[in-house]
Amino acid sequence: MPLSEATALGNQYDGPPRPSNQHNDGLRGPSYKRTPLHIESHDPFEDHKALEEIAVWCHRFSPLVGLADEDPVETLLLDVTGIAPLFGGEQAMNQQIESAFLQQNLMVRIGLGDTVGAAWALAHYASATLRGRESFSAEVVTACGDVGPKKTPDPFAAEPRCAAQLLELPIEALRLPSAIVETLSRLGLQRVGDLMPLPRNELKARFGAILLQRLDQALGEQPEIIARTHSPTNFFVEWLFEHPVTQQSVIQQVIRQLIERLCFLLLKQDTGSLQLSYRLTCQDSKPVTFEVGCYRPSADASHLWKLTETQLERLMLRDPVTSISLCSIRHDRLSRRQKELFDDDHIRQDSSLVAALIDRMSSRLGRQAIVRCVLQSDAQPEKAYRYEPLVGGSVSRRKNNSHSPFSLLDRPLHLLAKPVALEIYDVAADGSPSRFQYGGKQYAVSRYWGPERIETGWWRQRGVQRDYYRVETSEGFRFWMFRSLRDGCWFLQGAFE
Amino acid sequence: MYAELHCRTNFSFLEGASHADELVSRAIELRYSALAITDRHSLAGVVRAHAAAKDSDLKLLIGAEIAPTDAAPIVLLATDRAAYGRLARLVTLGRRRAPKGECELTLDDIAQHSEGLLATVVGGLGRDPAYGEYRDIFADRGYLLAELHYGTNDAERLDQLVRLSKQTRLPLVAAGDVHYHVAQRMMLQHVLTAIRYNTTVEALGDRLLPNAERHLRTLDEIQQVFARVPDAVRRTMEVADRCTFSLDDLRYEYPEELAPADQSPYEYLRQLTWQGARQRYQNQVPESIKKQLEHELAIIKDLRYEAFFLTVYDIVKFARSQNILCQGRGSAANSSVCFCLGITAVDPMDTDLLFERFVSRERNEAPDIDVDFEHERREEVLQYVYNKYSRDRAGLAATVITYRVRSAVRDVGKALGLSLDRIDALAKNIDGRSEDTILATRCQQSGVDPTSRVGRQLMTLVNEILGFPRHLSQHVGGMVITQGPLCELVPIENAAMVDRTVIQWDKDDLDTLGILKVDCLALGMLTAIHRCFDLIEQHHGRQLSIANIRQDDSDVYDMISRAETVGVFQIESRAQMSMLPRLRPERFYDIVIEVAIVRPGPIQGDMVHPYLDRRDRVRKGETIEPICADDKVNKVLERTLGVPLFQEQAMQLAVVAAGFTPGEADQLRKAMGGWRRPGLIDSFRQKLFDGMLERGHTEEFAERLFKQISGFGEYGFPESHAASFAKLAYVSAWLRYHYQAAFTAALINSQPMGFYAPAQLIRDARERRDTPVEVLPIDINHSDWDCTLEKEGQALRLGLRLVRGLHRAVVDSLVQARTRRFESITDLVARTNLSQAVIERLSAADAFQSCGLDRRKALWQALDQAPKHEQGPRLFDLQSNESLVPMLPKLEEQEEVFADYHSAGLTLRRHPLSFHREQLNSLGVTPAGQLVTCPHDHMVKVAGVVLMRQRPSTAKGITFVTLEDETGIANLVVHQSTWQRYDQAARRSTAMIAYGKLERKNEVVHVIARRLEDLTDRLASLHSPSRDFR
Repeated sequence: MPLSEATALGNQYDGPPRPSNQHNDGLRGPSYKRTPLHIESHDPFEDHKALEEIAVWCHRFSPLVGLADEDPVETLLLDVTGIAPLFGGEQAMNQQIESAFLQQNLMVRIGLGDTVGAAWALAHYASATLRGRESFSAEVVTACGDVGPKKTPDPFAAEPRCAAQLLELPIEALRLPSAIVETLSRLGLQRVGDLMPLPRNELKARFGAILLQRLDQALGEQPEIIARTHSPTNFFVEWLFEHPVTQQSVIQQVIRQLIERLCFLLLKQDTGSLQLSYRLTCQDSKPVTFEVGCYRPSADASHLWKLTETQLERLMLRDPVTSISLCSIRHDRLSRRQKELFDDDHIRQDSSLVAALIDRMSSRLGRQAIVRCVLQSDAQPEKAYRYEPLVGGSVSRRKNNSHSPFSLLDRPLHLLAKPVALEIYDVAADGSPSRFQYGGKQYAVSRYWGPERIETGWWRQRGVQRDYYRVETSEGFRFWMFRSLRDGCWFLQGAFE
Repeated sequence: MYAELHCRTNFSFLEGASHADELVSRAIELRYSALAITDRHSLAGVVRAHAAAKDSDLKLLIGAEIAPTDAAPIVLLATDRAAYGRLARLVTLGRRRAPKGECELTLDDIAQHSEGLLATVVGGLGRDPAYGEYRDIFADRGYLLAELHYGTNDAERLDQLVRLSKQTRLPLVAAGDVHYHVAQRMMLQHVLTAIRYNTTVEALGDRLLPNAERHLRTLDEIQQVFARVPDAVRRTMEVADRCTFSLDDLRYEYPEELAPADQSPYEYLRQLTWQGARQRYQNQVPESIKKQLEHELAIIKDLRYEAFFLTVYDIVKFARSQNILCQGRGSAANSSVCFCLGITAVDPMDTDLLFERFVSRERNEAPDIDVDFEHERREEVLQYVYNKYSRDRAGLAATVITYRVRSAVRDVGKALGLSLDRIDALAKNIDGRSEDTILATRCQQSGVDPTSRVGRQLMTLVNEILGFPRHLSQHVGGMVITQGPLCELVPIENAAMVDRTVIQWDKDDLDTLGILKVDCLALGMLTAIHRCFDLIEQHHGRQLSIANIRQDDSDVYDMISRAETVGVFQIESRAQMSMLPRLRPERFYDIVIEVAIVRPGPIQGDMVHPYLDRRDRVRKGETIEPICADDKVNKVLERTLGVPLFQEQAMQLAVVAAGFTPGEADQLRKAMGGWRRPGLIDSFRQKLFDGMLERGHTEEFAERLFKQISGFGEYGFPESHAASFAKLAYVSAWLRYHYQAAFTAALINSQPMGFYAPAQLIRDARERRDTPVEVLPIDINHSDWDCTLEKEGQALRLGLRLVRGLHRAVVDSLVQARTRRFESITDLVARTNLSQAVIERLSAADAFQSCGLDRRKALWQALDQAPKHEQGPRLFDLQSNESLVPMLPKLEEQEEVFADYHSAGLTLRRHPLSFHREQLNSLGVTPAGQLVTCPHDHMVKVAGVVLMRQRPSTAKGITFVTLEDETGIANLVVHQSTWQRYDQAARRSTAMIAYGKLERKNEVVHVIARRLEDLTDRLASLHSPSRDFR
């Protein structure tokens, strides 16, 4: 379904759209009174990541947790062999797992079976435990009992409950490729049980080994293995206080230790942090969080501490702190340079010292305070540059390759952020200025170049229409000034050195 | 005195921001002596400029800007006809070499075509070595362009140009590098640039031209800018004077090989015409025909159109020789000459169509003949033309794709940086086809405030960009054929389709220059008629042709009047069907009117009801009053009872009632049509009103006429076309009446075409009132690829072409191997080597019934037929396990029906809805067949499979939905608000229940839907493709 249609549908679901009568602002979203439907775009990668996280979290129920072998993955497999008594029986176990999921705001459907296949089938096609609507939950947990071939030769005799239930389920429950399911349904075969009277070799000739394999796996005739998931490493360190702490010095000390531990983790991977995130959990109020950014990747504990310290000083902690965690949100490979034979140590050190200085100043004054000037390609001089923070910008600094139609020498070195009105005494016949006053001083023009006409920016609030002149005064000053074509007023834009 | 030598029109796509005629009239206003049209690698804009400059003192120079890959760009101007030919050839060379829309040329290419061309080199900064080479190539025909636009350092730039000019000995000449006619177009030019780079204006940065100086400047301004080099300005006149070429010099030359060497084309045409006349009238040519022929031949000779008629005759003769059915239409086609030449089968005496109405001495317009060919074989005709005249002499005319409101909003909105979903909402809100879109309201509805800055800019720019060309596409079939090389007449470029080329002018341009084209069009109905003729000959031994079918078969007219016209050409649509019982055609000319009347033109012009009223009264024997006091006006409208129904009538009215010249009337029509421009239409409207009031007509009549003309402009249907279409409509109706089985088979075999899917065609045949057609199922032992006839032509056997996913080659091999019956699947596989997938598809289509296998059994068997090369010969094939098929659950009848739909799109079993009749009854649903008996204004519920959804542009957002159940068809009218309320059910469902008010008018029953409900879930997995919005 296209997104636009989904939105429309969502609005419809909310009730008919009610166009409002005011049209004050220029651009508005569709004017519906109710809050519009929240829509997230589909991201299979993130889905998978989230499921892996849940898998890690599920280790609290079983030592062996895995993801099902399917695409897209939406099933967790838990080996619960011999575990149920710890929870007080199978029923109790299921209930506890379910409520734990619900507490996390996750919907879950649980199938408990003797084999992976059976449990999967039950979870998908026989479980009624899902609360709420299925569409809100992608996570289905399957807990299964014995893994591996059943010892008993006849599954029906051993577990009549499970096998009989299985035979009643639709064929989709066998985890078969959709093409095979479709063909089977065209043959009128819809339940798992429909397959049983058919000769096995004929089935194999028509549907390949997979059909029998899945059937056998579900019935425990063939083994199936759960592939274990591992938790990924990340740069995260944490300190839990036994008693809540208020003393600043203690907190500082702990943070220093955390930084050192984090740097140790970072260095092991030859990585430096670009952004650190602190989280201080407080006893009675919301957690306090703050972030620290670097100009270059760094794993230098003392440097990171200095940056942190400047922020810490301004931190107001009203309540006792119960724990502190530190995490590197963005990191990059540490840049190292091999020393050369005739290397100038000073320069190297200087550049890293400058970087450290930038970090410290940005940390203390705020990101927006330490900036550099970047040329923009825009015909209107005030818009021809912009400021960009040095810290927290893009990791690799791009080169601005766009070449201007004019050489930089045609533009003054000093540019006024806002043009200053000039008083013009005399204008020559061709429209160029000949005498003007600026800053309480009078100037006479001895030479001029121009006009250069700039008419642009009509898509902004106010476009400009100007004739620019480069003028040289009798004293040898050179100015860049323009006459607005709208009202004929004169302004100074900049000065050449 | 100044001549502008470097000027782009909007045919330099997304660069130039003014129409050619705007540039020309501005140049005239500014008292320029000459203006050069120099589009980038293109001559597409010159004809329009030529037409605009025709009656003025402005001298038009024809040229193009060429940017070779290895040197500075230059502007080439044609001095004479020969040089123009070389320029066109050069552009052709570059265009043919590069992908569509691009051009690739080198200095070498320019050198080879340089003779007679003036070159003005665009002088950049820096010393490009190629300047010297240009000097070598063009000698004293080379110039250096000085173009100053108040740039950063104009003085220095001019110094450099003067120096460069001295060094290269290319004299300096002033020019403006014009992109638009007035400075106010700068914004639009910026927007076009943004569209070209696919970004927003804001993000363009230095790709924007920094000021508005690329307009046509006043002579004073030019003097001022070039004050230091007055010679450069004076020299523009020298350049202009050296160009003596005008597009009027293009003499269109007809191909000469059409007539035998010892005969002039006219004599030959005369001879052929009389020969044909004797054949048509069995050697007894009536006196009136003789007179008419002489008359027509005299006009043809007078206007020198003989070669044109011969060209068409030649193409038609070829089609005949290849047994390709064809039929001519268009203004000149409905002449006695064309009738005698066999170009058309419409006898002009039948329809009372006078030749002068279409070709006249006064109106110097090109005669128009379109020839329709069978759609599957038109390519053969085109190839014949290419082979006969070679690709150097024949080419397809272009169609200029222009900005319409919707595309304009999309592109301008994007360039202004509106968010994509906002643009989407706005564009969707605009009905691309309705011309009276009030943009401001639409903006408001989509959340763009029309009074805000962006809103205002958007609306201004959209209005300006309307009608701007976007790219050239190929005309549907307009062939231009010349005596000399075509590429010296007009550049040829690549079309999007592989191996297709298109010339840079469209049909209006060709008209302007008096160049004739022959339209070779493709028509599905001709294919079907041809197939039907073949089937009839094969099974009934009767030889038919379009010309020899009796035209006065009252049974056929009765059938048409009952609206039993499923499958009949043109009059099968729902709108046509509801009109037929009201119009009740009794003779051929009634069908001509029927074809023309159910069109957006007459409907928008509100002419349908007046016509029907008057016709009813005439039928009752009443006399009808004339439409107005003016006899001339009445005469124009005589044939259609005082109501204008045809495009020609509207144009003629403008002439007799408002004093337009015929040429102006035609311009008026064009202004209403494709590239409509708001300003132009207003001026015509004023002229029409003034003219009519002056002649004593009322304002109300003028208003009505204007409305009618604007309706006709885009959708009008000329009488000459209607007559030809009516012929095919009659022929297909005749076939339907007399040979329903063959007719239905032929229609299905010619799919995709027409209005109805095979399922409806089959149903129509099976439920025919008097003699139902027996339809036999698809079967591997009986079916061919196409549908065939059995039982002496009375029964129709469905063809394997209906089976989803089967390819023709596969089926052909199956039919070839069918020397004797296939006894089983194994037998079939052994003899045909068909793949397992094919067998599966055949089994899904239930095609093994003659082998005693139902769908599931056949599928079970099919699954086992693993590829032979894997297993080698199988020993036990012959006593194969057919008897060993395990017990599979049997299909229920409803499942069979669904499977039928799924595989072939139709079923011969019960209607899918019949399985739910009880349930539907309990819901209070009325079967469609019983609607006729329901009273007017009664609230009813109907249910059915959705056959089609249609939203005619004239219907103000109303959608017509056709539902089908086992008893018949129900017509729904869904208003826009209802449609929106039940959006999902309305747009998606394959079957629905509708609740609404029944409306009855002249035996036509509609249900005005108030509520819609999706039935699809109940009829799960029904696969029936509805023909939506076609």
